Amino acid sequence: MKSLIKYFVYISLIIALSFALPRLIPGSPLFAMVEDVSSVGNMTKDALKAFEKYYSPELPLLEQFAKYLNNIFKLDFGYSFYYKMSVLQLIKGRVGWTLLLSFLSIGISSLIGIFLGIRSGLKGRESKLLVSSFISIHATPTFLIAAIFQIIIAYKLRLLPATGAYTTGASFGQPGYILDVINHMILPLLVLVISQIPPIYLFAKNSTANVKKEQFVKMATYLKINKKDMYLKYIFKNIIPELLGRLNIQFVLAITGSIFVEAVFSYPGLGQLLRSAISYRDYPLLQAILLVCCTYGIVVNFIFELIALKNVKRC
Amino acid sequence: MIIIENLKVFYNKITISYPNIHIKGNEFVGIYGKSGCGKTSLLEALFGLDFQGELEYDKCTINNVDVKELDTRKYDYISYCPQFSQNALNPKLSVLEHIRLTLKGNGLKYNPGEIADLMDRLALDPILLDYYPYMLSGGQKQRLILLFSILKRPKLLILDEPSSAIDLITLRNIVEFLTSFRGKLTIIMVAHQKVLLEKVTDRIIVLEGYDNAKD
Amino acid sequence: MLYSFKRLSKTKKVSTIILIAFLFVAIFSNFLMPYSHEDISHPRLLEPSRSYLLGTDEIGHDIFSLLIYGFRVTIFIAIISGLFTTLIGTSLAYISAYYGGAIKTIISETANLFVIVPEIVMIMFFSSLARPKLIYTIMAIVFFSWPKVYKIALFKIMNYMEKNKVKYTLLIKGNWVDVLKKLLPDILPVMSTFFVLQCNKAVMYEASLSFFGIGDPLKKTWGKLIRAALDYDELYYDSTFLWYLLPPVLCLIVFVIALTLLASENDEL
Repeated sequence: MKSLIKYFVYISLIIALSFALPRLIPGSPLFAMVEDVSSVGNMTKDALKAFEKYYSPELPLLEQFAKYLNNIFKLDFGYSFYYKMSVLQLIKGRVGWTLLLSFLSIGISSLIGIFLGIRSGLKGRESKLLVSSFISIHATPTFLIAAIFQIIIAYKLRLLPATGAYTTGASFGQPGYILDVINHMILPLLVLVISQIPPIYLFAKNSTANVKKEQFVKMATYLKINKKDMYLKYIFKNIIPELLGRLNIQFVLAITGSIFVEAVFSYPGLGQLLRSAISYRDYPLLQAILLVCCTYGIVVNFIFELIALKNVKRC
Repeated sequence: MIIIENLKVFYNKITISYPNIHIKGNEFVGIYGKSGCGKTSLLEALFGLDFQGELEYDKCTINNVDVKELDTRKYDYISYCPQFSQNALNPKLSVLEHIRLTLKGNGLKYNPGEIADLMDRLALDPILLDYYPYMLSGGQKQRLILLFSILKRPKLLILDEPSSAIDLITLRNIVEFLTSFRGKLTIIMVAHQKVLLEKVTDRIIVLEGYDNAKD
Repeated sequence: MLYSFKRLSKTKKVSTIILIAFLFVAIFSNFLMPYSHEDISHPRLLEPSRSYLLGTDEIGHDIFSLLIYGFRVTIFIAIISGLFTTLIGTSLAYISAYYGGAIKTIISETANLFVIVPEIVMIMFFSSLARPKLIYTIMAIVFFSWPKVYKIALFKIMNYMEKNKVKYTLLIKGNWVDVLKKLLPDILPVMSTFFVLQCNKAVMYEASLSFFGIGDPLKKTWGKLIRAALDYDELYYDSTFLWYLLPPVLCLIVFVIALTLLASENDEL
C-alpha cells in the first residue's frame, strides 16, 4: 500500500499548489505584490465581494492557508456569486452528467479503438484513408469537432437537439424522460467517441504490429491456433501492459474532453460551469473544478496502477 | 512429397542455388550444411510465413501443390519448428493452455492420456502443464514445441536445428522421440552436426553453400 | 541539411514543405495582409469578393487579413512554447541524470505529479488568473508541458549513459560541460521530435484556451478567430461559416497534421 501514501502526498501537493500558485501569478488578484485587490481589472463588484469573502486576502498568509485547508476539509468551496449557490452544491448537481459522458464515451472508444487497432495491426497494410482520417481527427481540438457537429447536424440538418441534456421542463420519472435524455446525449457522446478513438486506435495498431513480429505469434500460425484465440490470447494479452499505460492517459483526458464538449453543447455538466466561471472570473468555482479534475486524475491513476500490479503478478 | 528442381533463392542480396531434392512420403531426411549455407533460408522459403526473398525454379511442389500457391492452409498438415524455438512460447499462457489452443485450432479432442504419454516420452514432468514459459528451461521449451507440433498430427514435420542451445541429454531424448515416429510421417531435420544426422535419419542431403556467380 | 531532407519519407517531405510555407506566411504576414488586421472600417458582414477575399466579420474586420495575422501569432506561440518546453524539459532531464540522487527524485516526483493531472485544466486555471497577456499564456503552457518532455528525455538520456558507460564514467571525472558535449549529438534528434510535438500541443492548447475566452484579446490567433466565428449568432443559420469559421479551422488542422506527420515515427504513410 505504498502507493496509497504516494497518492495521498500527491493530493496534498495539489492542494498546496492550488493555494500557492494563484498567489504567485502576476495579474492574479491574489498576487502578493498587489495590495489593493480592486485595482486588478476584470472583476465586477460582485465577483470581488465573493472573492474576498472566500480568500480573505487581507489576512496574513499563514492564516489564509489555515482557513483554506479548513475549508477544504469541510468541503466548503465557497459561494458562486454568478449562480447564487454554494459551489459544492453546484458541482454536486453537475458532476454526475460529466462523469456519465466521460465514462460512457471512453468505454465505447476503448472497445472500438482497441478492436480496430488490433485488426489493423494484424493486417499489416491498412487503408490509407482510414489512417489518414484518424490522424486528421486526432489533429482537431475536441471543441472544434463538437462545434462542427453541432452546426451541421443540429442546426443545419436538425437531426438532433443542439443543447442541453434533456428538454427543459422534463424531469426524472416522467414518461419518455429516459428517451429524451438519450436523444440529447447522442451528439455529445458521438463527438467524444470520435475524438477519443484515434489515439487508442493508433496505439493499439502500433503495439499489435510490434507484437506480431514476435516469434511466438508466428509459432501460433504454425500450430494453427484459430483466429479468435490469436486476437485475444496472443495479441491482446501481450499488448495489455503498454495498452494500460495509454488507456490511463486517455481516461484522464476523457474528463477534459467531456468538459469541452459540454461547453459547446451547453450540457449541464462541469463544462458549462467552467465556461461561466472563466467568463465571470468566478474563482472559487474555478478552483473547485480544478480540484475535482485533479482528484479525478489521481483516482484514475491509482486504479490503473492497481490493475497493472495485478497484471504483473503473473510474469 | 516434396519435389525441388533447380531452385534458386534470392534473399538479402545473396543468391543460393540448391541441389535437386526429392523427398518421399514418410521418409526421415536430414539436411546438413555448414553455418550460413542456406539451410534456414530454404526452410523459411518453403514452410515459413512472410518469406521476404524471391524464388526461381523449374519445379517446386509440396504434396503436389506448387510452392507459390500455398497459403496458411499448408499448416493443416505441416508442422514447422523454426530455429530458436525457445522464444516460440506465448509468455502469457501456461503450457496446458498452449496444448488446449493447439488442439482446438486443429479440431482435435483433448485426451489427457495422450498428452501424458507424449510428455513422458519427452521426459517432461506433468507438473510443467501449469508452468509459464518464464519458469521453463531452454531444453524444456524445445521439447514442448516439439510436443505441440506432433500433437496436431502433421503429415510433414520440419525441425530447424533442434540441437542448438540444448544439452546432450535433452538431445538424446529428442532423438529417441523422433525415432519412434519413423515411418509414420515425413520428417525433415536440419542440423550442422553430421554425426547426429547419420545416427537418426534415413538419408542426408548436403548443402554446399551459396554461389553468387554460378550460371 | 539538404541531404537529410532528401532522406525523409515522402509524407515528411510534404509536411516540411507545408510548414515552411506556413512559416513564410507568418514572417511576411505584414506584406500579405491586404488591410491592417486592426482596421474595422470596412462594411460589415460582406460575403467574399475580390477586395475582401474572405469577406468581413460583424465588427468590420477583413477576415482574410485576420487570418494572415493569425498565422503570425499562432505560429509564434507554437514555436516559442515548443522551444521553451523542450529546452526546460531536456535541461532538467540532463541535470537529473547527471546529479542523480535527491535532485533527481525531487524533479521527477514533481514531474510525475503534473503528468497525472489533466494539464489543460491547470493551464486554463492559471491563464485565467493571470493578466491577459500573450507572455502569460505561453508561460502557462510551458509550465505545465515540460514534465512530459522531461520524463521521456530522462529515460533516453539515462539509456545513452548506460550504453556508453565507459565513455561517460571517464568523463564524469571531467565536468558537466564535457559530458553534455558528448551527449548532444545523440540527444539532438530526440529534442527536435519533442520540439515538433510540443509546437503541436501548444497550438491545440491555445485554441482550447481561446475557446474559453482566455488569452490576450489583442493578439488574434486562429483560436481567437474561431471563437469569434462561433460567437457570431447567425453562424448557425446562414452560410457565413464557410468563409468565417472554415478558413481558420482548416489552417489549424493542416498545421497540426503537418506537425504530427513530421514527428511521427512510423513511415508507413
